[in-house]
Amino acid sequence: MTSPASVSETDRRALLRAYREKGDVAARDRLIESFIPVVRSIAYRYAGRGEQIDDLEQVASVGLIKAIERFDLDRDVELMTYVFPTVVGELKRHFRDRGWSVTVPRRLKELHYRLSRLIEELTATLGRSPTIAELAEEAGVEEEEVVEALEVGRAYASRSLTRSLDSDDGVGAELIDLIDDEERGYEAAENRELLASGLKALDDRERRIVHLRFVEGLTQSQIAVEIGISQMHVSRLIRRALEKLSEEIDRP
Amino acid sequence: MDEASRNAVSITLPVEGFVNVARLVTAGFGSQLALGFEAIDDLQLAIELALRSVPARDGYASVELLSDDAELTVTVTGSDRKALDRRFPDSDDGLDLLSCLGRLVDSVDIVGDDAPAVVLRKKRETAEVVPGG
Repeated sequence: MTSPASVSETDRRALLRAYREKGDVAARDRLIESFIPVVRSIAYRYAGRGEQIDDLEQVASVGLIKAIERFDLDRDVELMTYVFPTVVGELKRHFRDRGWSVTVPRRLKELHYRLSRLIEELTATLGRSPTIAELAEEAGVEEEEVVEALEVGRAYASRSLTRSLDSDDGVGAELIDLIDDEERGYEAAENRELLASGLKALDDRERRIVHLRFVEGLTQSQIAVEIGISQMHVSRLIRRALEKLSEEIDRP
Repeated sequence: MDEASRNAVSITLPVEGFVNVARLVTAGFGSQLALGFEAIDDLQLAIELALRSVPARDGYASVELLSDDAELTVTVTGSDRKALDRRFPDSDDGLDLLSCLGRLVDSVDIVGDDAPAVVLRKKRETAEVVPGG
Protein backbone atom coordinates (compact mmCIF):
# COMPACT_ATOMS: atom_id res chain seq x y z
CA MET A 1 0.00 0.00 0.00
CA THR A 2 1.30 3.40 -0.93
CA SER A 3 1.17 5.92 1.88
CA PRO A 4 -0.55 9.16 0.91
CA ALA A 5 2.39 11.10 2.24
CA SER A 6 4.73 9.25 -0.08
CA VAL A 7 2.86 10.37 -3.19
CA SER A 8 3.20 14.03 -4.01
CA GLU A 9 0.65 16.13 -5.84
CA THR A 10 2.99 16.09 -8.82
CA ASP A 11 3.13 12.29 -8.74
CA ARG A 12 -0.62 12.07 -8.51
CA ARG A 13 -1.11 14.38 -11.45
CA ALA A 14 1.36 12.31 -13.44
CA LEU A 15 -0.52 9.13 -12.60
CA LEU A 16 -3.83 10.70 -13.53
CA ARG A 17 -2.42 12.02 -16.77
CA ALA A 18 -1.04 8.56 -17.64
CA TYR A 19 -4.47 7.12 -17.04
CA ARG A 20 -6.34 9.79 -18.95
CA GLU A 21 -4.01 10.08 -21.91
CA LYS A 22 -2.62 6.56 -22.26
CA GLY A 23 -5.37 4.55 -20.65
CA ASP A 24 -2.86 3.32 -18.08
CA VAL A 25 -5.16 1.48 -15.68
CA ALA A 26 -2.25 0.50 -13.43
CA ALA A 27 -1.52 4.19 -12.95
CA ARG A 28 -5.12 4.82 -12.00
CA ASP A 29 -5.00 1.93 -9.53
CA ARG A 30 -1.87 3.36 -7.92
CA LEU A 31 -3.57 6.71 -7.70
CA ILE A 32 -6.60 5.15 -6.05
CA GLU A 33 -4.37 3.21 -3.67
CA SER A 34 -2.62 6.39 -2.61
CA PHE A 35 -5.96 7.81 -1.46
CA ILE A 36 -7.25 4.74 0.36
CA PRO A 37 -6.10 5.85 3.86
CA VAL A 38 -7.79 9.20 3.29
CA VAL A 39 -10.98 7.54 2.10
CA ARG A 40 -11.01 5.23 5.13
CA SER A 41 -10.47 8.14 7.44
CA ILE A 42 -13.42 10.01 5.96
CA ALA A 43 -15.61 6.88 6.09
CA TYR A 44 -14.84 6.44 9.79
CA ARG A 45 -16.23 9.89 10.47
CA TYR A 46 -19.60 8.57 9.38
CA ALA A 47 -19.42 5.38 11.46
CA GLY A 48 -21.89 4.84 14.28
CA ARG A 49 -24.87 5.92 12.24
CA GLY A 50 -26.20 2.46 11.65
CA GLU A 51 -24.06 1.50 8.69
CA GLN A 52 -21.30 -1.07 8.62
CA ILE A 53 -17.88 0.49 8.24
CA ASP A 54 -17.13 -1.83 5.31
CA ASP A 55 -20.19 -0.52 3.48
CA LEU A 56 -19.18 3.06 4.23
CA GLU A 57 -15.70 2.45 2.90
CA GLN A 58 -17.20 1.12 -0.30
CA VAL A 59 -19.40 4.19 -0.68
CA ALA A 60 -16.43 6.44 0.04
CA SER A 61 -14.46 4.54 -2.59
CA VAL A 62 -17.17 5.34 -5.12
CA GLY A 63 -16.68 9.00 -4.26
CA LEU A 64 -12.95 8.62 -4.81
CA ILE A 65 -13.43 7.01 -8.23
CA LYS A 66 -15.83 9.75 -9.21
CA ALA A 67 -13.37 12.42 -8.11
CA ILE A 68 -10.58 10.81 -10.11
CA GLU A 69 -12.76 10.50 -13.18
CA ARG A 70 -14.05 14.06 -12.97
CA PHE A 71 -10.99 16.00 -11.88
CA ASP A 72 -9.92 18.64 -14.38
CA LEU A 73 -6.14 18.48 -14.78
CA ASP A 74 -6.07 21.93 -16.33
CA ARG A 75 -7.38 23.60 -13.21
CA ASP A 76 -5.01 24.89 -10.60
CA VAL A 77 -6.52 22.86 -7.79
CA GLU A 78 -4.88 20.11 -5.77
CA LEU A 79 -6.35 16.69 -6.38
CA MET A 80 -6.66 16.12 -2.63
CA THR A 81 -8.82 19.21 -2.20
CA TYR A 82 -11.13 17.88 -4.88
CA VAL A 83 -11.24 14.30 -3.59
CA PHE A 84 -12.21 15.23 -0.05
CA PRO A 85 -15.54 16.98 -0.73
CA THR A 86 -16.46 14.48 -3.44
CA VAL A 87 -16.03 11.56 -1.03
CA VAL A 88 -17.94 13.40 1.70
CA GLY A 89 -20.68 14.20 -0.81
CA GLU A 90 -20.98 10.57 -1.78
CA LEU A 91 -21.31 9.51 1.85
CA LYS A 92 -23.92 12.17 2.54
CA ARG A 93 -25.88 11.10 -0.50
CA HIS A 94 -25.64 7.50 0.69
CA PHE A 95 -27.29 8.41 3.98
CA ARG A 96 -29.86 10.57 2.25
CA ASP A 97 -30.77 7.78 -0.20
CA ARG A 98 -31.07 5.20 2.51
CA GLY A 99 -34.12 6.02 4.48
CA TRP A 100 -36.79 4.07 6.25
CA SER A 101 -39.57 3.48 3.74
CA VAL A 102 -42.19 3.26 6.47
CA THR A 103 -42.49 4.99 9.82
CA VAL A 104 -40.61 2.87 12.30
CA PRO A 105 -40.29 3.66 16.00
CA ARG A 106 -36.88 5.01 16.91
CA ARG A 107 -36.45 2.27 19.51
CA LEU A 108 -36.77 -0.41 16.83
CA LYS A 109 -34.50 1.41 14.40
CA GLU A 110 -31.82 1.61 17.06
CA LEU A 111 -32.29 -2.01 18.00
CA HIS A 112 -32.06 -2.98 14.33
CA TYR A 113 -28.75 -1.15 14.04
CA ARG A 114 -27.45 -2.84 17.17
CA LEU A 115 -28.56 -6.23 15.96
CA SER A 116 -26.83 -5.71 12.65
CA ARG A 117 -23.56 -5.23 14.53
CA LEU A 118 -24.25 -8.03 17.00
CA ILE A 119 -24.95 -10.52 14.22
CA GLU A 120 -21.53 -9.79 12.76
CA GLU A 121 -19.82 -9.98 16.12
CA LEU A 122 -21.56 -13.10 17.37
CA THR A 123 -21.12 -14.88 14.04
CA ALA A 124 -17.39 -14.29 14.36
CA THR A 125 -17.30 -15.26 18.03
CA LEU A 126 -19.51 -18.33 17.84
CA GLY A 127 -18.35 -19.54 14.45
CA ARG A 128 -22.00 -19.78 13.36
CA SER A 129 -24.92 -17.44 13.03
CA PRO A 130 -26.48 -16.58 16.39
CA THR A 131 -29.94 -17.64 17.47
CA ILE A 132 -32.66 -15.12 18.26
CA ALA A 133 -32.25 -15.98 21.95
CA GLU A 134 -28.52 -15.27 21.83
CA LEU A 135 -29.13 -11.97 20.08
CA ALA A 136 -31.78 -11.04 22.64
CA GLU A 137 -29.50 -11.86 25.54
CA GLU A 138 -26.62 -9.91 24.09
CA ALA A 139 -28.82 -6.91 23.28
CA GLY A 140 -30.58 -7.10 26.65
CA VAL A 141 -34.05 -7.27 25.12
CA GLU A 142 -36.81 -9.85 24.74
CA GLU A 143 -36.74 -12.33 21.86
CA GLU A 144 -39.97 -10.84 20.50
CA GLU A 145 -38.29 -7.47 20.23
CA VAL A 146 -35.43 -9.02 18.25
CA VAL A 147 -37.89 -10.65 15.85
CA GLU A 148 -39.73 -7.34 15.52
CA ALA A 149 -36.57 -5.31 14.96
CA LEU A 150 -35.26 -7.73 12.34
CA GLU A 151 -38.58 -7.50 10.55
CA VAL A 152 -38.67 -3.71 10.53
CA GLY A 153 -35.22 -3.88 8.99
CA ARG A 154 -36.95 -5.12 5.86
CA ALA A 155 -38.49 -1.68 5.66
CA TYR A 156 -35.08 -0.22 5.33
CA ALA A 157 -34.92 0.99 1.76
CA SER A 158 -31.69 -0.24 0.31
CA ARG A 159 -30.02 1.95 -2.22
CA SER A 160 -29.27 0.02 -5.34
CA LEU A 161 -25.59 -0.63 -5.27
CA THR A 162 -25.72 -1.43 -8.93
CA ARG A 163 -27.21 1.81 -10.13
CA SER A 164 -24.97 3.72 -12.45
CA LEU A 165 -22.98 6.46 -10.89
CA ASP A 166 -24.31 9.89 -11.75
CA SER A 167 -25.51 9.72 -15.28
CA ASP A 168 -24.00 13.07 -16.03
CA ASP A 169 -20.52 12.12 -14.97
CA GLY A 170 -19.80 10.20 -18.10
CA VAL A 171 -18.13 7.49 -16.10
CA GLY A 172 -20.71 4.85 -16.68
CA ALA A 173 -19.21 2.86 -13.85
CA GLU A 174 -21.19 1.10 -11.19
CA LEU A 175 -20.34 0.26 -7.62
CA ILE A 176 -20.19 -3.34 -8.71
CA ASP A 177 -17.20 -2.39 -10.83
CA LEU A 178 -15.23 -1.53 -7.73
CA ILE A 179 -15.53 -4.91 -6.14
CA ASP A 180 -16.32 -7.19 -8.96
CA ASP A 181 -13.52 -7.06 -11.46
CA GLU A 182 -11.77 -10.16 -10.22
CA GLU A 183 -14.97 -12.09 -10.45
CA ARG A 184 -15.94 -11.17 -13.96
CA GLY A 185 -14.48 -14.38 -15.25
CA TYR A 186 -17.14 -16.45 -13.59
CA GLU A 187 -19.76 -15.08 -15.94
CA ALA A 188 -18.48 -16.82 -19.01
CA ALA A 189 -18.03 -20.08 -17.17
CA GLU A 190 -21.54 -19.93 -15.86
CA ASN A 191 -23.14 -18.75 -19.03
CA ARG A 192 -25.56 -21.58 -18.91
CA GLU A 193 -27.02 -20.31 -15.66
CA LEU A 194 -27.07 -16.73 -16.84
CA LEU A 195 -29.11 -17.71 -19.82
CA ALA A 196 -31.72 -19.36 -17.67
CA SER A 197 -35.08 -17.72 -17.66
CA GLY A 198 -35.31 -14.71 -15.41
CA LEU A 199 -31.67 -14.38 -14.53
CA LYS A 200 -31.21 -12.01 -17.41
CA ALA A 201 -33.43 -9.58 -15.52
CA LEU A 202 -30.83 -9.28 -12.78
CA ASP A 203 -28.01 -6.83 -12.88
CA ASP A 204 -24.39 -7.90 -12.46
CA ARG A 205 -24.27 -7.58 -8.72
CA GLU A 206 -27.53 -9.37 -8.11
CA ARG A 207 -26.52 -12.07 -10.55
CA ARG A 208 -23.24 -12.51 -8.77
CA ILE A 209 -24.88 -12.82 -5.38
CA VAL A 210 -27.47 -15.24 -6.75
CA HIS A 211 -24.61 -17.20 -8.31
CA LEU A 212 -22.68 -17.35 -5.03
CA ARG A 213 -25.74 -18.31 -2.99
CA PHE A 214 -27.65 -20.58 -5.33
CA VAL A 215 -25.01 -22.05 -7.62
CA GLU A 216 -21.94 -22.19 -5.42
CA GLY A 217 -23.99 -22.67 -2.28
CA LEU A 218 -22.18 -20.11 -0.14
CA THR A 219 -23.93 -18.98 3.03
CA GLN A 220 -24.87 -15.35 3.57
CA SER A 221 -21.93 -14.97 5.95
CA GLN A 222 -19.53 -16.37 3.40
CA ILE A 223 -20.90 -14.09 0.68
CA ALA A 224 -20.61 -11.14 3.06
CA VAL A 225 -16.92 -11.93 3.56
CA GLU A 226 -16.40 -12.61 -0.15
CA ILE A 227 -17.69 -9.26 -1.35
CA GLY A 228 -17.04 -7.18 1.73
CA ILE A 229 -20.48 -6.13 2.86
CA SER A 230 -22.54 -7.00 5.92
CA GLN A 231 -24.53 -10.20 6.22
CA MET A 232 -27.77 -8.29 6.60
CA HIS A 233 -26.97 -6.40 3.44
CA VAL A 234 -26.42 -9.70 1.63
CA SER A 235 -29.78 -10.84 2.92
CA ARG A 236 -31.47 -7.72 1.54
CA LEU A 237 -29.79 -8.12 -1.84
CA ILE A 238 -30.73 -11.81 -2.10
CA ARG A 239 -34.31 -10.98 -1.24
CA ARG A 240 -34.46 -8.25 -3.84
CA ALA A 241 -32.85 -10.46 -6.49
CA LEU A 242 -35.37 -13.21 -5.84
CA GLU A 243 -38.21 -10.71 -6.06
CA LYS A 244 -36.95 -9.53 -9.44
CA LEU A 245 -36.41 -13.10 -10.60
CA SER A 246 -39.90 -13.98 -9.53
CA GLU A 247 -41.46 -10.95 -11.20
CA GLU A 248 -39.57 -11.62 -14.40
CA ILE A 249 -40.84 -15.18 -14.56
CA ASP A 250 -44.38 -13.86 -14.07
CA ARG A 251 -44.00 -11.66 -17.09
CA PRO A 252 -46.03 -12.98 -20.05
CA MET B 1 -43.70 -39.51 17.82
CA ASP B 2 -43.50 -37.75 21.14
CA GLU B 3 -46.12 -35.02 20.90
CA ALA B 4 -44.14 -32.85 23.28
CA SER B 5 -41.38 -32.59 20.71
CA ARG B 6 -43.75 -31.44 17.98
CA ASN B 7 -44.66 -27.86 17.24
CA ALA B 8 -47.17 -26.68 14.69
CA VAL B 9 -48.36 -23.29 13.51
CA SER B 10 -50.79 -22.70 10.68
CA ILE B 11 -51.87 -19.41 9.16
CA THR B 12 -54.02 -18.40 6.23
CA LEU B 13 -53.27 -15.03 4.78
CA PRO B 14 -53.86 -12.84 1.74
CA VAL B 15 -50.92 -13.29 -0.58
CA GLU B 16 -50.86 -9.61 -1.48
CA GLY B 17 -49.46 -7.35 1.22
CA PHE B 18 -49.27 -9.84 4.07
CA VAL B 19 -46.04 -11.67 3.34
CA ASN B 20 -44.45 -9.85 6.27
CA VAL B 21 -46.90 -11.63 8.56
CA ALA B 22 -45.59 -14.97 7.32
CA ARG B 23 -42.04 -13.71 7.90
CA LEU B 24 -42.81 -12.71 11.48
CA VAL B 25 -44.46 -16.03 12.24
CA THR B 26 -41.52 -17.87 10.71
CA ALA B 27 -39.03 -15.87 12.76
CA GLY B 28 -40.99 -16.57 15.94
CA PHE B 29 -41.21 -20.25 15.11
CA GLY B 30 -37.51 -20.41 14.27
CA SER B 31 -36.72 -18.65 17.51
CA GLN B 32 -38.63 -21.27 19.47
CA LEU B 33 -36.59 -23.95 17.74
CA ALA B 34 -33.34 -22.09 18.45
CA LEU B 35 -32.47 -21.87 14.77
CA GLY B 36 -29.63 -19.58 13.76
CA PHE B 37 -30.28 -16.19 12.22
CA GLU B 38 -29.20 -17.33 8.77
CA ALA B 39 -31.32 -20.46 8.90
CA ILE B 40 -34.35 -18.36 9.82
CA ASP B 41 -33.59 -15.87 7.07
CA ASP B 42 -33.25 -18.66 4.50
CA LEU B 43 -36.52 -20.13 5.66
CA GLN B 44 -38.23 -16.75 5.41
CA LEU B 45 -36.85 -16.29 1.88
CA ALA B 46 -38.06 -19.76 0.87
CA ILE B 47 -41.54 -19.12 2.26
CA GLU B 48 -41.74 -15.72 0.58
CA LEU B 49 -40.72 -17.28 -2.72
CA ALA B 50 -43.24 -20.09 -2.31
CA LEU B 51 -46.00 -17.64 -1.38
CA ARG B 52 -45.27 -15.58 -4.46
CA SER B 53 -45.31 -18.72 -6.56
CA VAL B 54 -48.36 -20.59 -5.35
CA PRO B 55 -51.44 -19.39 -7.22
CA ALA B 56 -53.71 -18.03 -4.49
CA ARG B 57 -57.19 -19.38 -3.84
CA ASP B 58 -59.44 -16.31 -3.84
CA GLY B 59 -56.39 -14.27 -2.95
CA TYR B 60 -55.44 -16.43 0.03
CA ALA B 61 -52.79 -19.04 0.67
CA SER B 62 -51.94 -20.99 3.78
CA VAL B 63 -48.64 -21.60 5.47
CA GLU B 64 -48.18 -24.47 7.87
CA LEU B 65 -45.01 -24.86 9.90
CA LEU B 66 -44.43 -28.16 11.60
CA SER B 67 -41.39 -29.30 13.51
CA ASP B 68 -40.31 -32.46 15.19
CA ASP B 69 -36.99 -33.74 16.46
CA ALA B 70 -35.70 -34.44 13.00
CA GLU B 71 -36.89 -31.70 10.73
CA LEU B 72 -38.93 -28.63 10.07
CA THR B 73 -41.62 -28.89 7.40
CA VAL B 74 -43.29 -25.89 5.82
CA THR B 75 -46.27 -26.38 3.55
CA VAL B 76 -47.46 -23.45 1.45
CA THR B 77 -50.82 -24.27 -0.09
CA GLY B 78 -52.69 -22.47 -2.83
CA SER B 79 -54.56 -23.50 -5.94
CA ASP B 80 -54.07 -24.42 -9.62
CA ARG B 81 -51.55 -27.24 -9.89
CA LYS B 82 -50.90 -26.57 -13.58
CA ALA B 83 -49.90 -22.99 -12.92
CA LEU B 84 -47.66 -24.16 -10.11
CA ASP B 85 -45.97 -26.71 -12.37
CA ARG B 86 -45.36 -23.99 -14.96
CA ARG B 87 -43.85 -21.85 -12.26
CA PHE B 88 -41.54 -24.62 -11.12
CA PRO B 89 -40.67 -26.53 -14.27
CA ASP B 90 -38.89 -29.82 -13.70
CA SER B 91 -35.71 -28.99 -15.53
CA ASP B 92 -32.04 -29.68 -15.05
CA ASP B 93 -31.09 -26.85 -17.36
CA GLY B 94 -29.99 -23.71 -15.61
CA LEU B 95 -30.92 -22.02 -12.38
CA ASP B 96 -34.62 -21.76 -11.77
CA LEU B 97 -36.87 -20.96 -8.85
CA LEU B 98 -37.05 -24.58 -7.81
CA SER B 99 -33.29 -24.91 -7.56
CA CYS B 100 -33.15 -21.61 -5.63
CA LEU B 101 -35.66 -23.02 -3.16
CA GLY B 102 -33.59 -26.17 -2.98
CA ARG B 103 -30.60 -24.17 -1.78
CA LEU B 104 -32.59 -22.45 0.93
CA VAL B 105 -33.93 -25.68 2.43
CA ASP B 106 -32.98 -29.36 2.27
CA SER B 107 -35.77 -30.55 0.01
CA VAL B 108 -38.66 -29.16 -2.00
CA ASP B 109 -41.69 -31.07 -3.24
CA ILE B 110 -44.67 -29.95 -5.22
CA VAL B 111 -47.64 -32.04 -4.10
CA GLY B 112 -51.41 -32.28 -4.46
CA ASP B 113 -53.80 -31.52 -7.28
CA ASP B 114 -56.91 -30.05 -5.66
CA ALA B 115 -54.93 -28.08 -3.11
CA PRO B 116 -51.45 -27.96 -4.60
CA ALA B 117 -48.68 -27.09 -2.24
CA VAL B 118 -44.99 -26.40 -2.06
CA VAL B 119 -43.51 -28.50 0.72
CA LEU B 120 -40.20 -27.29 2.12
CA ARG B 121 -38.18 -29.44 4.49
CA LYS B 122 -35.20 -28.44 6.52
CA LYS B 123 -33.38 -30.92 8.71
CA ARG B 124 -32.76 -29.71 12.22
CA GLU B 125 -29.12 -30.71 11.94
CA THR B 126 -28.59 -28.47 8.90
CA ALA B 127 -30.67 -25.59 10.23
CA GLU B 128 -27.60 -24.12 11.82
CA VAL B 129 -25.00 -23.28 9.24
CA VAL B 130 -21.49 -22.72 10.42
CA PRO B 131 -19.90 -19.99 8.31
CA GLY B 132 -16.91 -21.30 6.47
CA GLY B 133 -17.78 -24.79 7.58
